[in-house]
Amino acid sequence: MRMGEEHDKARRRVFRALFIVVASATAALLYTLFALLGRAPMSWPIHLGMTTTLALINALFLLLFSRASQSFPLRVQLAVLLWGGAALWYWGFAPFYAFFTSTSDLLLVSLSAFEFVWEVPFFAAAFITLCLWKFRSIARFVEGRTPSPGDATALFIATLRFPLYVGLLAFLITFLGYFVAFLQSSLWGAQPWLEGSKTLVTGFAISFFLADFYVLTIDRLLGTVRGRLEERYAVPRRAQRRFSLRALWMFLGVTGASISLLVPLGLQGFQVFMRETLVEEARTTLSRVAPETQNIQSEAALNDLLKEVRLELRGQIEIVASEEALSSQNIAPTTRQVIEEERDGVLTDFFREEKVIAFFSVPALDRKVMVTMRVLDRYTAWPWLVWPLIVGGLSILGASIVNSIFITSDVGRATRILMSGVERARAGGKEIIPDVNTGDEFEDLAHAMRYFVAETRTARRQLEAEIVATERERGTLAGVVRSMGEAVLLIDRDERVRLVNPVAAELLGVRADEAVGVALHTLVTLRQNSQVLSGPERPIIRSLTGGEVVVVGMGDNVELETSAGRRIPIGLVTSPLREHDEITGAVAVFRDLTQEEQLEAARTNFISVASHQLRTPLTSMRWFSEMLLAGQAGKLVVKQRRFVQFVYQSTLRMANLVNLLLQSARVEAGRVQLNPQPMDLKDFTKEIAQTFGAMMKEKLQILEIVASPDPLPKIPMDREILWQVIANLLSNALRYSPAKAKILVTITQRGDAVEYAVKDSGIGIPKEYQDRIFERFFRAPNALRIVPDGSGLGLSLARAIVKGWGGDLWFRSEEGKGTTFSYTIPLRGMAAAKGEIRLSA
Amino acid sequence: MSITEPKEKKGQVRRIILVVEDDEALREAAREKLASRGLEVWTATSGEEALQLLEQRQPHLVWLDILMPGIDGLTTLQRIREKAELKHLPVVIVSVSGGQEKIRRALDLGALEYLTKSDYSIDDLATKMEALLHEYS
Repeated sequence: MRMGEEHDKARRRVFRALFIVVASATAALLYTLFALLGRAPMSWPIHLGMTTTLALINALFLLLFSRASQSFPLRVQLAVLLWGGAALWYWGFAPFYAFFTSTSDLLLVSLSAFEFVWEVPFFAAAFITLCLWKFRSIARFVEGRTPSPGDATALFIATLRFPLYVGLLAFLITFLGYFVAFLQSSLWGAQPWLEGSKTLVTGFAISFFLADFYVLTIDRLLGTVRGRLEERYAVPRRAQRRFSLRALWMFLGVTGASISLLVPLGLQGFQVFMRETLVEEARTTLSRVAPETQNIQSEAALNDLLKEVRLELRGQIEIVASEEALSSQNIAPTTRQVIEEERDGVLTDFFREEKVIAFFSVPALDRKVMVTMRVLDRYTAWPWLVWPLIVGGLSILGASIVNSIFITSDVGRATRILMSGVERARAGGKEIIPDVNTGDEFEDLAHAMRYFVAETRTARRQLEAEIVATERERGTLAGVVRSMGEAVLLIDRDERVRLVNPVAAELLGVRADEAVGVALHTLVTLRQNSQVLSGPERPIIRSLTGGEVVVVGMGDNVELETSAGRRIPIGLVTSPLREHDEITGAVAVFRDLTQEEQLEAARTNFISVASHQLRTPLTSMRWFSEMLLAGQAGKLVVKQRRFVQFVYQSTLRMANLVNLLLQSARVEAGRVQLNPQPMDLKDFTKEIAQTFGAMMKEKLQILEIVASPDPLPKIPMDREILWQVIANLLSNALRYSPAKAKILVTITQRGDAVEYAVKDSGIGIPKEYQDRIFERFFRAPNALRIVPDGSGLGLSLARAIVKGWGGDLWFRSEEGKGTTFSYTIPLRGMAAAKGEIRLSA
Repeated sequence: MSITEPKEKKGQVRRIILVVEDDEALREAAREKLASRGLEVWTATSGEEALQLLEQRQPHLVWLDILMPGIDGLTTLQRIREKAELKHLPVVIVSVSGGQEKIRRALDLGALEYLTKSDYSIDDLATKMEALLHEYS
């Protein structure tokens, strides 16, 4: 936002400056037009002041533009550059040069000023238009329309040629301007031919310099375009340009143009010198002759005087009798006016040719004598000047060539050495950059490059080593993934498969290499409880979009359906794949649960079959012994009765054993149904204790229940399950404690759990058996002695149940002193579970 | 199938109970005990047999086991309920074990009770049957 405002500000400034440029140029044009028509004063100071002002205004405009150039398209930048070059050269340099080289009178100054002012906009407009037209293809690329790679090379060459084209055009157009000026001054301005030829030479030099300026600046402007082209396409750049050739061309051009600029200056100096010499001669002669003219009374005396004058002044002597005769002379009107009005004098005149005119009047004869001395006639010395000029110019030119060859070969050699060194370094050769002993920037460059190459080489070696290490690590990882027993599948952000290990490929029924890159949903469908899981419900998509880790187990009933329609029950873990806090994919690890499901079914089946098959004969044994004991088959004798009693008791024990066994199997299989309801543990313990009332009465045992706090908060628990645990521990405590013993139950809230402890003073658990106490059917020898008919299943069942609700069960015991069994119940209690069976069904 | 002919007692309507039980020993024990309580006991060894019998005549109460070869007790109960004339026949499920699901289905199908054999002595069971007979017929 701020950047945009800055841009707009800069652009507004540029537009204001442009308006000032246009306004000032228009004002200058109008003023010089008036001057040309004689309605406004014009002189060299006015002319130079005006063009200098224009040049300064344009310089300001260029400066403002260069600050904001990035806010304008390249075409506009080019146009402004072209305009700026023309304006600065034409309004800054050229008028001053003209001032020093031309010999003009007032009329010619007006003409020159007008010419300078109108030519610039006119020719510049044509020039800029032509250049922009030529610039079309490059501009299109810059504006973002991308060429084909073939066109790229053409475009690259075009960017190299374009500055030369602009230079040539600048030269031609500028020179055309000077040529028009030459024609204009020679025909209309009636300037001497010498002035015209000076204009042409000047035009050549100035055109060349302008062309050179454009070639250099535009080449730099387009350098960025070339860079972008090279970046985007591998454009072959080599041998397109040779520095030495360019340098030679620059030296020759600049030297030639400079000499061309110097020649008119030298000529002008010579001209001025000759003219002033003639004026001096004429004045000397005239000052001597003038007093004598008053005394001349006859034609003969005049002729004598003129003979003398002719000896001193070489020139055309005319005796003018009338004004008509004077008007036929090849002189400017202003000169004629002076001659008519003055008695004598010396004048310089530039009409058609440069001359010095000395005149005096002979009053007695009513004549005017006019001696016209053409400056050109005195150019007998010219050859003496020309030859040194030519020789001097040529030697400067020669020196330039030699100089340029020397410098460029030096630079070229150093560059070539550095280039070949860099090439070898790029090719991976062992040599380092050779020495360049020039003792200047090239030597520094060689040193810098040597360091750079060495550093690059080290960096490359490190990088290569790292790549090898990474590859090796990747190989190891790939091997691990390949040989994993679980199926592994990896998808990217677009849900396309990136990796499948052989196990996964086999499960999906695809070939690993064919699956890569394929959209996952085309390979596999997931079903839960036979319903197809749609997009966002799929675990891997939840990982991919929500970053969740999704675990699907056996109870979730998820099946995988291959594209061939095969359905396989699976367990699954999906997790997101992150790089720098961004999810870049997801990984799924899954496995075939067919076998597990079969085993589970077998186990479930075993439990129900076992419960039926074991209980049925037990029930009939129980019922028949009951009926026998009830005398339903006739009265039993005492011994018979005793025997049947044993059968009956054993049957009951057996039934109890089977029940316990089935219960622990159900608890372990997690198949028990839970209906939690708020329970008061103390009251519940009392209720259970009542069922042991007979035993306690018989053994005179006391049960004490302490709750802390009292009352305890009610905990949602399944009544039957909790009964099983409490009854189990209570009955153990009572059975293994001696008569008159006290059993202490403490129920204590600790944090977010309740600790339930049953402390007896019974036989205790011998140390060596303490770690086997929860084994199924295990009974310590001392327990076996006291209570021979225990099942050895109660504690293992109790512990399985306690673990099932997220608690823990442990004991502290000392043989002969007693045992404390403790377990915890979380205050949140049990969660309801939709198991298939009640504990004791 | 067998029908134990009851010993007639004067002035008393003989209550009839059908015991459907595949285990011979249990069937025999039940018959023995129930008959000794003065009930008329019909027995069937499978669900099919029971249904066949029920087409001919109706008892006052049915003792129905669940796990039997062929069609099981629940299916048998369902078939019984499908017949208009048997819709309200009192049926007691007497099984060795009871899953919650089974109990719910049995009660949904209109069983009077769901009893677990191994939890009861045969005397208690017979008493329970007598009570149910008294209540529902």
